[in-house]
Amino acid sequence: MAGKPTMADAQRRLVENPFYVLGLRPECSRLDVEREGQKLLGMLELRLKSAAIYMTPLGPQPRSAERVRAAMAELRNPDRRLLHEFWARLPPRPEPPKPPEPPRPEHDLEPFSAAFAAHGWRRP
Amino acid sequence: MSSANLVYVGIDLGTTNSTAAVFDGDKVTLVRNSQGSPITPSVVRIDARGNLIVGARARRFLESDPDNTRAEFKRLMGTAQAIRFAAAGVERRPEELAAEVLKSLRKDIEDQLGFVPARAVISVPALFELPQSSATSEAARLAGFERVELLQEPIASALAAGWTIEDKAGSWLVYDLGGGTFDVSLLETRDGLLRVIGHDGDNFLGGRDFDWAIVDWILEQLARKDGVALSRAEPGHAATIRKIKLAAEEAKIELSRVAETSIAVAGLSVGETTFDLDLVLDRDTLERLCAPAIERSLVVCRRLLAAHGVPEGGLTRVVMVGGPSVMPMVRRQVSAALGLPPEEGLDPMTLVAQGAAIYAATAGLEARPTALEPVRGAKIWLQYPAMSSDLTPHVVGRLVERGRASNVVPSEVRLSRADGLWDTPWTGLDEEGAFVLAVSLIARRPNVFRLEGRSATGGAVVLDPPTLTIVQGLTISDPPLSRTIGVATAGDDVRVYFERGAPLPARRTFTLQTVETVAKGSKDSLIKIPIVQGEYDAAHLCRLVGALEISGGELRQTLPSGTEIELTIELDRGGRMAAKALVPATGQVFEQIAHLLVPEAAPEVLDAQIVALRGRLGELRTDAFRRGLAGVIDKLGKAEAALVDLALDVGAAKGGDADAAQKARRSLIELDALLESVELDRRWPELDKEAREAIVYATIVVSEHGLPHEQSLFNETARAVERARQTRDPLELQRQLRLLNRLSYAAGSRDPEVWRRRFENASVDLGNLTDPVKGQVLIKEGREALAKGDNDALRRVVQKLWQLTPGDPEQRRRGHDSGVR
Amino acid sequence: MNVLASFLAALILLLAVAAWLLLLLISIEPLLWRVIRVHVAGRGWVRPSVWLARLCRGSFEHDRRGGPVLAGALALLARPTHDEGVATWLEGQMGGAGAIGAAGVVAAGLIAASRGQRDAARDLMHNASNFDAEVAPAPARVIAGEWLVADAAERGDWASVMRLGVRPDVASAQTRFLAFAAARVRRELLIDEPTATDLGLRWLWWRSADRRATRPLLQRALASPRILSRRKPKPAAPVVAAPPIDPAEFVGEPLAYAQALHALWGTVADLERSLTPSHLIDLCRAWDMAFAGPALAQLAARSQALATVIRPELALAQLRRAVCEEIAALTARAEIPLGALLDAGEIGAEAAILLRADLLGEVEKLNQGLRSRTVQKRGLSSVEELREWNTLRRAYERAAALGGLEVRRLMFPDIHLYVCNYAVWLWNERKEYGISTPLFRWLLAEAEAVGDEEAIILQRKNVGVK
Repeated sequence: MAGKPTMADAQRRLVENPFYVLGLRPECSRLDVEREGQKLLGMLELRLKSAAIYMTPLGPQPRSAERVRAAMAELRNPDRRLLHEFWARLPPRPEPPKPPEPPRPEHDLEPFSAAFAAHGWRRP
Repeated sequence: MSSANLVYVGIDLGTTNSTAAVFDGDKVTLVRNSQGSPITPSVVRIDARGNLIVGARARRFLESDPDNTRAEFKRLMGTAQAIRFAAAGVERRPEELAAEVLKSLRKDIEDQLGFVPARAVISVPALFELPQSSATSEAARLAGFERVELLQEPIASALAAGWTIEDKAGSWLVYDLGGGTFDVSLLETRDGLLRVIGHDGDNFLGGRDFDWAIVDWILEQLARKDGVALSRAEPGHAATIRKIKLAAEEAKIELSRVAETSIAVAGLSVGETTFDLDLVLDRDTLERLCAPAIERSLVVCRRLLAAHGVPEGGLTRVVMVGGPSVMPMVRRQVSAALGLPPEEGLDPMTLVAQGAAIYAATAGLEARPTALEPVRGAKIWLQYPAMSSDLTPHVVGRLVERGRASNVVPSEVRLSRADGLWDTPWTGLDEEGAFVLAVSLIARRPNVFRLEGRSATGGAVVLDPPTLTIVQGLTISDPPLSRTIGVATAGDDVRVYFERGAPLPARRTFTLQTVETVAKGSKDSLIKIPIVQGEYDAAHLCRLVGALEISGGELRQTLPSGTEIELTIELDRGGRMAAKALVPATGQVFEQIAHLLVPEAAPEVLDAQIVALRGRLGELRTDAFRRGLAGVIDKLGKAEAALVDLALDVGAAKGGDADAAQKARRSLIELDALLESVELDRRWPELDKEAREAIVYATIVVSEHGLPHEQSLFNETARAVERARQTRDPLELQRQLRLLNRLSYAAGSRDPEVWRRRFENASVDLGNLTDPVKGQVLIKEGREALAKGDNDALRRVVQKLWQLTPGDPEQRRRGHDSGVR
Repeated sequence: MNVLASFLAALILLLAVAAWLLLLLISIEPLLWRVIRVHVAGRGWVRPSVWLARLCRGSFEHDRRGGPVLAGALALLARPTHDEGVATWLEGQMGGAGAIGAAGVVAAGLIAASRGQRDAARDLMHNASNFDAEVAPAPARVIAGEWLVADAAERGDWASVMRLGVRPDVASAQTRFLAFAAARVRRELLIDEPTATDLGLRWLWWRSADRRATRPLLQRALASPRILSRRKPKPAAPVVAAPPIDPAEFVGEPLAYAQALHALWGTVADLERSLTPSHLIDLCRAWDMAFAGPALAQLAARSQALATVIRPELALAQLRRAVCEEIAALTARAEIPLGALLDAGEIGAEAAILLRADLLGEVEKLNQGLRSRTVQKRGLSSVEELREWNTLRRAYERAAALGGLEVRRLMFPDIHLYVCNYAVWLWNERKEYGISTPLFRWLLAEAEAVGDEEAIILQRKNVGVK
C-alpha cells in the first residue's frame, strides 16, 4: 500500500503536471506531446539553458530529462491524461513575489542560541 | 557516417532457438550461420576433450549424449544452478552457456558483415524477473559485447509486425508461444505511436508442454497396451523418456503437415526389459492432448483483455510469434477465441530478432565499434530521434568547440536532405552556440541530411558530423515495467515503488522506518529490506527478488527502532535494478543487494506445501458446496486440476528435473494466491451480512442507551457503512464496522443485560483461552455474580476473560522477515 | 587487661572515625555532586566522572546504576565532539537486567542528544521528568528539566520555558533565570510565581553557569518594565503576504478557483498559524462547487475524445477521493479539530470521515502492537519501551486533539484495556516501576476526562499502590 497522500503531494502534483513540464496546454494533440517531448529531451541532453526551466502556476521549476520522459509517458496513457487535464486548469506564470516573513508578536524574544551554554553545556 | 554504413543488430536468445538480424534503416536481413540457417539451436556441448560446440551440430548429440549436451538453459537463468558436463568434468552457469550461444551468433555476424558487433539489442520475455534479466546482461558481457540493451519480446514482435504492414489504428495482441514461455501483450497504435498497454503471460508454458503431453500419452499407451511402466519421477527412466520426448517432438512437427504420423523408436529399455515403441498419432488426438495447454494460454489472453477493458471483438489485429504458434490447431483455436484470424506473412520464428534490430535503430545503438577515422571540421553535438513516426521532428544541436578563429566556426547552419528536394533555411546559432531545426521526412525510409555550416564572413564551414540519418517509421513509447516492484514491510504489506506498466527508466525514493534495533558492531543483528515483485497486496505472495541488508557490523552507530531509512530504487530501460539505502542519522549508504537469485525449490518443501494446499482446497470446496456458490466451485475445480499438474511436476523434480521444480514452485505461489482470493471473496457476503446485522443491533442499542453525541456519530457511521457496502470496498467496510461496534459497545455497556450476554459468549469460548485453568475459575466467579445479580462483578469477570483470548498470529515471518514499516 | 581496653578503645575510635567519615560523605554529597558536575564532567572526563559519581550513593539511592552513567553522559556532552566509542561504553554500563531509573533515562537522553537526535532526546527527558518524584533522584530530574528548558529556549519556545523553568521539582537557578527573564520581556506572568524584581533577576543571573552568555538576556529583561497583573497576550498578527497564487483571479471558474485555493494552502510555510477553520470551510465549499455542475460532463467529453478505458464517473470519484484525502491531511497538519470540516459541505464531511478513520487506525495499529507484545511477553529494553509508549501516546493525543471528545471516548476502552495490561506487566513482572507509574497516572487522567467510572476506580487503585 502506498503512503497516504499529503498536501506536499498536492504541490508536487501541480508542479510536476506533465502539461507544465512540456510547456503545453490541456487542449494539445498527441502529436504535439511527442514533438515537444522529443525536442526538449534533445535540448536537455545538450544542456541548453533555454530548456532548463519551465513555468508552473507556482513559479519556475527545473526541468530534467527524467521529468520530461515521465511526462510523456503519462500523457501517452489516455486514462492518466484525463486526470492530468483536470489538474492543469491553472495557467503557468513567471516568478511570483516572495512572501515576506510573518511578523512575530511584539514584546517577544528571539530564540536564545546560548541557552545550553547558560547551563554549562558546550553542545546541546 | 552515411546511411549505407548504419547497421543495427538484434538478437533473439530463445529457449530452443536463437536468431540474429540486422537492420540498415530500410530493411531487415536475417543473419545466417555456418549451416546457412537463420536459426541456431540454443544447445551447447562440451566433449571429453573440452571442445565446445554450439548450435545444430551440438543438437545432434542431444539424444545420444545428454550428459554433455545441454539445451533450454534459458529457463535456469537467474538461478544459482550450475550445469555439469560430465565428460569434461566442468560446470557452467546458465549465463555462461548463453554467452557461448551469443559468441557463436557474433561470429556469424562477423562472417556476414565483416565486423564484430560491439552493441546489440537482446530480447527477453516480458515477464522475465529481475534476476533473469540481470543474468542475460551478464551473458552478453561475457560474450564480449560492449553495450547491450534488453528489449521485451512482445515489443520486438510488434515492432517487426508494425514495420512491414500498413498500420491501422487500434489495439493489437501479440501472442508469443515459445518453446518454454508464453507471452501475450496488448498494444496500441495511434498516430504513429506504438504503445504497450499491458503484458501478461506464463513463464512456464510453451511448446514443451505439448511435448510432455504427448509423452504422457505415450507412457499411458505403453502401460495399457504393453504393460511397460515408465515414470517421469524415476531418475532411472530419464534416458528412455528423453528419447521418447525427442520422437514426440518430431511427430508434433510432422503433424503440422500431415494428418497422421507414426512414432517409432526401437531398442528402448526400462530396467532389464527392452521394447520397441510403435504408435500412431493423429491430429485429432494431438489436438485433444494439447488443448489444456492452449486453453491456459487463452485464459491468460482473456485476463489481459479484461484487465484493460478491451471488449469482445475489440482487437484489430492478432500477431502470432514463436515456433509452436505455427501449428494449425493453435492458430485455429486462438483465432476462434479472439474473433480474428492471425496476421499472415510474418515469420513467427524470426519476428522477434527482426524487431530487436529495428529497436536498436530507435535506440541509436549502432553495432559497429566506434569509428577510428577522425573527421575534420567544427564539432557539433547533435540530438535527434534515430527513428520517429513524426514527419517533422526536431534536430537540436550545439557547437562544442568555440573560441577558434572565426572563419572555421560557423555562425549559421542548415540541414539539407540528401535527395536535394528539401532543406531548412539558414539559421543562426544562439548565444550558447545552439540551434533547433525542424526537418521534413519522407515516410518509411531512412532520411539522410547534410549538416552545412556558414561562417560570419559567408564562407562554408565543414561540420562534424557531416550527415545525420533519421528513419521515419514508428515511435515507441518507453517500455513499461512488467511487474509491480515494491518493498515488503514487517506487517506483510507491500510499499509499492513502481506499478506495473510504469515507464522505464524510473527512480523513486521513499522513507521507511526500522522496527527493531540494530546494534553497532553486532554481526548477528541485521535489518533486511526485502524487494519484491508481484501484483499481490500481501508481501508473502510476491516473489522476493533481492534484499538490501544492513548489518550491525557495518554501522557507525547503533540504530534504534524507528530510525528512518531513505530507500531509492532505480530501474533502467531494460529493467535492471539498483538500490541504495541512506540512513540520514549517520549519513551511511548501503548498496549491497543480496540474493538476487531465484530461490531453490527443494522437492520435500514442495511436497509439504502441496499437502497444506490440498487441505485448504478441501475446506473451501465443502464450504462452497454447502452454500451452492457455482462460480467458486468452478474456480476451485480449476485449482484441483492445477494441483494435479503440480504433483506431476514435483514428481519430475524428484527425478532431477530442476526446471520442473522451478515451475512447481511458481505454480504453488499462484495457487496460494488463488485460494486466498477465493477466501477473501467468500468473506464479502459474510462481511456484508455482518454489517447489516451490526447496523440493526446498533440502531436499537444506541437509540436506547446512547448519549446524544454517540447518536449523531452513529448516524454518520451508518451512512459510511452503506456507502462502503455499495462500493463493495471490504477494507472501508471493516474500518467503519469497527467504529460501529465500538459505538454499540459503549452504548450497550450501560445495559446490564448486555454483560450477561457477553459473559455467555465468553464462557463458550473456553477451549481457545490461553489459560484454561484460570478461565474455569473466572467462569465460576461469573456464574456466582450472575446469580447474585452483581453486574459490576460480572463486568470485571468478562473483561478478565477477554484478556485470556489468544493474540495475533506472527505476521512478520510472512513479510519475508522484513525489518521495516 | 590494658591490652583489651586499648584494643576496645581503638575499635571504638575506628568505628567513630568511620561513622564520622560516612556522615561527612553524606553531608558533602550535594557538594560532591556539584564538584563532579562542574569540574570533572564539565571538563569532559568521562571515566573519572563515572567513578566519582559512585560515591554519591545517597543522591542516587533509587538508581544506583544510573547515577554514574548520568555523570558520564554529562561529561560526554561537555566534549567538543561526539565520541561514539565512549557513548557505546556508557550504554554498556547502563545495560543489563532490571528496571531503568530516572537517572538512566536522562543519561540515555543525553547520549541521544550528543548523537544529534534532538527529538528522541526531548522525548526521553520528558519521560524522565514524569517519573515519580519519589523514585527519581533529584539530580536526574534537575538535569532533565535544565535540558528541556535549554532546548525550548533555543527553539524560541518561550511558553515551554516559562512553564518548565519554575516547576518545583525540576527547576534550578539557571532555568528559573531563563523563565523569569522571558516572562519579563514578554510581559507575561508565570504560573504561581510573581514577576521577578530587578534584584531578583540579577541574583538569578549571578548564579547561572555562563554569565557572559546570558548577560544580553539579563539586560533585555531589565530593560522591560515589570508587570504585576495578568493580561491576555495579544493574538498573533495575521499573516500579510503576497501569495504565489491569487485565487481571486479565478472566481469565475469554479474548478480553477478551487484548485488555486488548494494549491495555495499546499505552499504556505507555517500552516499552523495561517490556516483558520473559516479558510478550511471556504476551501471545502469551493471544491463542492467545482465538483458540482459541468465537471462530470467535461470529463465525459474528454474521456471520449481520448478513448480512455476508465469510465468518467470512476475518474471523478478518484479525483474526489484524492481531494478529500489531501484536505484531511491539511486539517491534520494545521491541527484544526475535524469538527470544523463537518460544517463544510459534502467534501468536508467526506474528508472528516477519512481523517477520523486515519487517526483511529493509527492508534489502533500501535495499540495492537502493544497488545501482541504483552500477550507474547516479548519485552524490549527499557529505553525502547519508553520509545514505543511515546509513539502510542503521541498518536492518541493527536487523535484526541483533532477528533474531539467523541473520538477520545471511542478510543478509550481499547486503549485502557491494553495499556493497563501492559503497565501491569511492566510493574509485576519486569519491576519497571519508573515507567509504569506515569502510565497509570496517564490512564487515570484520561479516564477522568472521558468519564469512564470503572476505569477511574481501577486506576485510582493502581496509582495508589506503590
